Amino acid sequence: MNYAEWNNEIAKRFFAPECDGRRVFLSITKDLIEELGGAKGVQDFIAAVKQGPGETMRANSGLCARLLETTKRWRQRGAPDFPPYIATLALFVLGASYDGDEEAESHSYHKRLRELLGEPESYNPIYKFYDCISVWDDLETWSSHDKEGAFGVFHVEFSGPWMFVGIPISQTLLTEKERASLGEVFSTAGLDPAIQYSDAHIAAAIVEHGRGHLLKRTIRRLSGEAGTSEGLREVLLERLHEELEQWQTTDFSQMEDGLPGQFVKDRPTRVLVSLQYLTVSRTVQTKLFFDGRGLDVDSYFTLKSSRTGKVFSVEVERRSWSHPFYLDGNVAQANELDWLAGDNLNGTGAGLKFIFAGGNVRIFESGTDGVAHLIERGRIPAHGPFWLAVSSQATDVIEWGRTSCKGWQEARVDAGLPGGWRLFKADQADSTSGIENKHPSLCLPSFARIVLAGGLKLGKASRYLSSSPPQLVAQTPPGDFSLTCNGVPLSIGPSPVSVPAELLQEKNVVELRDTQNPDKTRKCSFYLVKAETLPWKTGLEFGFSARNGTGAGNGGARISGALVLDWESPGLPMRDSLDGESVVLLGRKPGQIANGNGVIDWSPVWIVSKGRNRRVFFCGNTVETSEPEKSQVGDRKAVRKWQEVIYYGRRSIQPPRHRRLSALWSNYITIAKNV
Amino acid sequence: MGRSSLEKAIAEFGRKEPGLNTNGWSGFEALWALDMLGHCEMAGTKGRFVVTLAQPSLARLPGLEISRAALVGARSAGTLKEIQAACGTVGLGVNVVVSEIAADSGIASIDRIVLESETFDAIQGVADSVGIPLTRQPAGWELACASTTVFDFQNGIEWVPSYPVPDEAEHFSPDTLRFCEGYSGGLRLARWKEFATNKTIYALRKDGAVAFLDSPEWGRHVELSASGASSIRYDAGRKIFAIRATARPPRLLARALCLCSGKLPAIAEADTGKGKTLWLAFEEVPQPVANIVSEKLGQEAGPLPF
Repeated sequence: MNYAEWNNEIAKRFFAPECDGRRVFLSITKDLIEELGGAKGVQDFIAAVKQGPGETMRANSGLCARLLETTKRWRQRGAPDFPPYIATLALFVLGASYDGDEEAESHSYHKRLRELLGEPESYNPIYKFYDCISVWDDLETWSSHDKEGAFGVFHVEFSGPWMFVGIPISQTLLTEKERASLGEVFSTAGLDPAIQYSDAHIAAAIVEHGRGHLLKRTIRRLSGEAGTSEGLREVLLERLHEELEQWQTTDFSQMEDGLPGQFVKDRPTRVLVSLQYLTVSRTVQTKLFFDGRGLDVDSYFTLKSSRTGKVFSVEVERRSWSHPFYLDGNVAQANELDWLAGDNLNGTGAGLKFIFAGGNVRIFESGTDGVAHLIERGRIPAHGPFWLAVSSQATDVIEWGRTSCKGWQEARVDAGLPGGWRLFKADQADSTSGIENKHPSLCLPSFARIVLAGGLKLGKASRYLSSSPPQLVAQTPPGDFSLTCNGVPLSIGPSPVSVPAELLQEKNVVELRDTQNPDKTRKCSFYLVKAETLPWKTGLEFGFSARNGTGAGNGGARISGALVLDWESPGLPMRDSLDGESVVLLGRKPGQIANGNGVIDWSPVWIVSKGRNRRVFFCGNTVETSEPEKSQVGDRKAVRKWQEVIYYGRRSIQPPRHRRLSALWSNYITIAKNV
Repeated sequence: MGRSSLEKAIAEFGRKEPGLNTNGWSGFEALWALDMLGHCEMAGTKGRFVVTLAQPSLARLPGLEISRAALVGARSAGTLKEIQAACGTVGLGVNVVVSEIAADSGIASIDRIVLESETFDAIQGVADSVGIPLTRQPAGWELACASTTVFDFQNGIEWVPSYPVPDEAEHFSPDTLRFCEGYSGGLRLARWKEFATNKTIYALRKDGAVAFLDSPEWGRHVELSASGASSIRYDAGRKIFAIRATARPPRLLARALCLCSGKLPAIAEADTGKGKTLWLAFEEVPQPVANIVSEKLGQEAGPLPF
């Protein structure tokens, strides 16, 4: 294959319609290259990349210089088809891709890339390699902005000195096979995609349940074994968080089509506790619920505790938090379940596996996300207050809280918690070292992360309406960090930060820098799109209401905006709008005249007001059908009055302001003159 | 239609508000404003609101002096340009008047787009040219006629016998038009907050029975109609229809009143002697529309208090 063919094959492999909105990693391996190009695929691929795209292959410049020139020309042509640089970037990733369980080492990256290219041995980068960072950025722009994430979303998440090797290495942290098996690992580990777990929790769960599915090096990295890079562990953990959030367990549409071979696993769903602390009575009220925001349909579940055999019921409306769990017709208190040992609640339907997690500690935060009071969380917050329910066995947690948390104090509870449990609150956790190994949920973030919050997001890529950009949240471990957007510093705190409007551009680059270790600078970008540039989707479905304001069903009137369909309204009694005594109605024929409240059997064309400032208003159907007629109706007196109002009164009546109506009124005056 | 499409539309309607957020109370008020103007349908069924864009249309506005129609429903940034171009091409003397509607809601302003001409024929020509339907009669009249009545609403609700209403439930007072009281018997609108989901539940109570409502607005007017109280006022001379801000009209009647002028109601304050009350004042409401809205609510309209 030549360069263009390799480029096309690799691009199609990673950027495809089925990747719509999903994160894409160029996880190139030798196996994949051989799958695409046959047994000698690797040599063929490298030879093709060294030769480069047709338009620059004769240029007497290095690989990177040609890549930059190709990118520039492709953009000048309007960026048609796939970007021409994907094959070359794939080679950069191949330089970081080690076989099987070999460990990547960032210091030897350049040496290995040179080996692949057949260049002299050196630890220095190839010519203009660092300049190619702009090409990685371009791939992000193409996937996120130009293609709106329709073929997948590529992110450049590093900045600072490490980015040059960090970007290619981070593509290889999970192979395609590993990524495909993650669903099974998550399911077996009982990880609920709706819960934000701590890094220690994710790492421990994947290490325990990922053996046999993931490469040994991945397990070693997660375990933090000696010889593994801490930086790569952090990136790997971030990827696992992201994969869990995006994990789609069941594709019901395909199940209905009866397609064989689909991987279908029940989605673990954490049953959570909501807790209300009543300070006066020193009691707590608890309820059970779950996060049903991932469900597309209204559902009702009957769930049996595998420990006690108690049968709970719970209802949830699509994309909402569930209603509280019921037991024997009453709202169930959370201590109906075993807080220490946990429980599995077995039921049928919707592909959910309900888990009530056991343990010595339960973490709560003040109600957000539309849930009242305190709600259970999977980890303590990076910043800000939290509550802990702690079993009497966990004296180490109480000691940790006392020594490592600001504002730690017990909230005395006389009733409502399971026996032997106590409730504490803290303003902030300063450190979790020492406690996180035994209680993984009590773990502050181990790496910095930028989260985009709010804003009007368009689709799944990082595109937002320019009128409503996202806010920024810096999730940081303890330490000093600086947050910038487009190079301008912003404050860091527990609350989301708005970027001042004057700083915003079409592409906005956010960086989160560890001041002690700038190598580890994290980066993300978001794009702003002006409303004027957005086309409406074709086939947009409009809403209809019924007469009582509910959604319109089948049959009966349907209302949408100003339109009333399948309903016949009576004619507007226009004359009811008038003060009958103060106006005169005129018809098309001489003699058609009446007071505003008079009984008439003809259609009025004009309404003429009485009094000093007399005006005439058109009230006919159309100008064309309202021309005056000469034929007279009624008695002579009525004809005379019609003439008096129109012809003799013409100087005291202000005519219509508009040209055609004014002309029509003039026609009436002409007819009235000759009556 | 997805939420993002709706948000896109809202952002288009009120582009000057940088922090527009469709979550929370201000977001609900923004949606309510858009619903009143006929831009979206916020229809509730079984306790859940589904918000969708309304079909684009030109709503005839009542009035004798000049023929006018307001653009309502879904629109894109290009819709105004299309209409302006059609007005130029058709050459029937149709003016497009764009003004801002100040809203006491999450949206700072909404563009009000009104076509004006000497006859509706000319506006019909523009409507045909851009493929947007023009209502046959004034939209306020048609919507008010189509809306259900308070009596039909009351007859259609389903009662649940012996439902345990929480003690903390508040009840709507027909005297103060506020939720402030315990239950003292009779037909009353109750509301309470569900602990786990934080949802506010509205239900009519009649002794031990309860009827859960999708529309608390209808619930208030069922109670007001049954008690003989009135929350509405009308002045035919000023063409102002006012309704107490704490008992706002059900959404289709609110839309009928708004589409008499194409504007949101103004907030008016009145001093009743016992204290100040707030009113939603709908402008340019002709007598027939005021009459039928009063009839649909089962209330007599008194004189304006301001």
